[in-house]
Amino acid sequence: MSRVAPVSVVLAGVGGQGIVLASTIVARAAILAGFQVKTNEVHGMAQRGGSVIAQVRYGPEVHSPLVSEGTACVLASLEQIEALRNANYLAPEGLAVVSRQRALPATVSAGRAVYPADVEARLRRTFNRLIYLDAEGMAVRCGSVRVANVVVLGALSTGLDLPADTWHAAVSSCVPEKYRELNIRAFQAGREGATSAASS
Amino acid sequence: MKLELLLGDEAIGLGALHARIGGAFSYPGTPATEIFEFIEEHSRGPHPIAARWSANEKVAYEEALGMSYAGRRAIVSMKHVGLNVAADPFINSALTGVNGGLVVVVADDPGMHSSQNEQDSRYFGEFAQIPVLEPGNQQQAYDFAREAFELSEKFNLPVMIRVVTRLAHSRANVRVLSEDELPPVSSEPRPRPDPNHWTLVPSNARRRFRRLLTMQPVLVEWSEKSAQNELRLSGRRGIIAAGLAGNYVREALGGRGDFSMLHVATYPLPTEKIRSLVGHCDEIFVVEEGYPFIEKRLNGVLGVPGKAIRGKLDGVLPPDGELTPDAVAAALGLPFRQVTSAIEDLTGRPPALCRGCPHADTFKAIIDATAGHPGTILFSDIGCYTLGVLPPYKAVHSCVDMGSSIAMAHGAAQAGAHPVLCTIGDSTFTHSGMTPLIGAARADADMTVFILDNATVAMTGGQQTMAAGEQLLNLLKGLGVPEGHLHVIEPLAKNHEQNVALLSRAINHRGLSVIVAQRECIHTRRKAVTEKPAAKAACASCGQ
Repeated sequence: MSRVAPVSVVLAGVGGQGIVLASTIVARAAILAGFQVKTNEVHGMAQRGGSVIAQVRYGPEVHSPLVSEGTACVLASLEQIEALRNANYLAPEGLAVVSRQRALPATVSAGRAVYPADVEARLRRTFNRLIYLDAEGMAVRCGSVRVANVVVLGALSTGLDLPADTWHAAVSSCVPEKYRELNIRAFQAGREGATSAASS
Repeated sequence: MKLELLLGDEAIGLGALHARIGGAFSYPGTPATEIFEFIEEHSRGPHPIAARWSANEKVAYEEALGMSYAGRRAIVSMKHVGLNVAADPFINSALTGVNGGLVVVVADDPGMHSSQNEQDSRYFGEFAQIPVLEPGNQQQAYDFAREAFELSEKFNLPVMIRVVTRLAHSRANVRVLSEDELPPVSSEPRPRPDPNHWTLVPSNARRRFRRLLTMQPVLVEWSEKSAQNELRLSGRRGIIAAGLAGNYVREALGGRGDFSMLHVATYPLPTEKIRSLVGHCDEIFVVEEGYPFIEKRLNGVLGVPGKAIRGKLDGVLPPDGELTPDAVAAALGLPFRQVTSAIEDLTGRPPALCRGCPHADTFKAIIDATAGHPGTILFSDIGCYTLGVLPPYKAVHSCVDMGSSIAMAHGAAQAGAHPVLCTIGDSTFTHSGMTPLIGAARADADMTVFILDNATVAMTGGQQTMAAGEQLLNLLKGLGVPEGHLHVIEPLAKNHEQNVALLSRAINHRGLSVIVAQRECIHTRRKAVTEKPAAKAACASCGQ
């Protein structure tokens, strides 16, 4: 009855940040490493400025496309409060990768709610293992703010046991050829940034 | 064989392509949209197939039925509530039967991620008395799509494939046939069918209905023999799982084999297999997405003496929303991690109209123009503009079904309400807003119709619409809207005062006014600009 449980990854953010693409790259990398994969993603109404979440599960055998609470190995978020919102998915020993970005919900920009001022403290309290990085700034230094999702992907890759070359192949196969180098650069920046953040 | 990473929706689309369909028909609707889009994207290969969006689901179904009549395989796909719109041809096509295989794919949305209800399409399948296939994963989605066309032709009946959001919008690796393994494309369509089968005057219809009834035992026998309904007898506790729900059960079981299990993939239900499982077990858990369809049939009116039937009726599973692996594990009494750290004081992030959206400017103008009319009723419709119900607008008073805004406004006007307004998008208008407008125009009803013409089906990702701009205006004139009361505004902040003045005049006119708010969706506009690098980079969408 020995059975290897699937690895679960949760990606969170706001519509338009490239969450679904990032989840597809994780899925491809897992397939290249020889695993079965299931993902789920958000389409339709929820994307209109709402919270977006995508999940990837891989292993020798995967049944459920949904991640059970408290079981994800990695939670990565391109937005700070979305990381807190989805904290329930992360296993106690899991890795959280959170970009310092904040996207104000419509409720906040309309003055009917406040964005938590102590968000960093709360992130540090909530997550035992946290990589907290400025993915947007790193993406700009790589050549485009639009690859912040791949920077985060690079950082989260340090929390998974997939070989580095499968990651590069997965990134390459998921983006148009003319943006390939840019995305590989972003991935590397995230991966190296995570390693130095973890050791500091 | 090769492996592809596919959404459930895409797997169905590819299965249909590999079944050598002649065409695909649909109206956009989450979570079904990607079925058609995948086929459309691959429709221009060496064997081109017809793939054009239809005006609505009823039209899509009828086009598919017509293609079947003409001897080609056809697939029609829609979201669950779309089948309400297509119900008339759907039910009747079970009587006509098919010629080329006809497959209708319906995507249910338990949990209402992007829908106004969570109706269960299996009831519709039973209502029409046709075979229904319910894939449990992406591989089955691909395999069933191919098989469904053969079944349809074998039984001479339309076949339904039912999926749910978490299959439609979930990716997995799927083993698919490579091009050289596919059947050849037949150059000739199947010969024409007997027109008496298809002409449902009462004398023919009675005959055809009897034929449908005689098919029922044949369908049960097929379901009984289908290898897709896997039965495993083991312990005295048993599980009947349907479609996707079987994955949550397997996840919860984690490899343990002490539960007996029947995984249902076909309807009508495989009765004998169910009897075997129930006979073998004392306690039976029914795990299904949507309504307690199987559970109800198991219980009937009298229940099952000596057996405990557990599920949504019994309360071990939540009666609404979608299933989760945790909910299923809890119901089965199996371990799962209980998490208490849910952070509840975080501000929500509901969807909202995008920055620069034309609808926002239209709602602002409507709010100011109706400020002196506390009795204003604004009926709305299905589309991005339904978000006008949320703050800061809080302008919308209803959203029921596609096209309902105009008919409901006419009803309220006939109740003597004033002012009565309604907002409807250009695509929803051609879907099912035109018919109620003809009546309202003929009656010169005391109401003001806003057609929010953003030239796209925005909510589902920007599909092409049937009529926008000048063509829409001509359509309105043709429907009988009086020219003096047909107005066009450009919803932009700089036009606000002028728009409010025009709206006030229209509202005070005690007959029908139609105001077309013309401005393209910022997303399709942006796409058009990026796809045409020569175009001016200035942002025409926000007017700055």
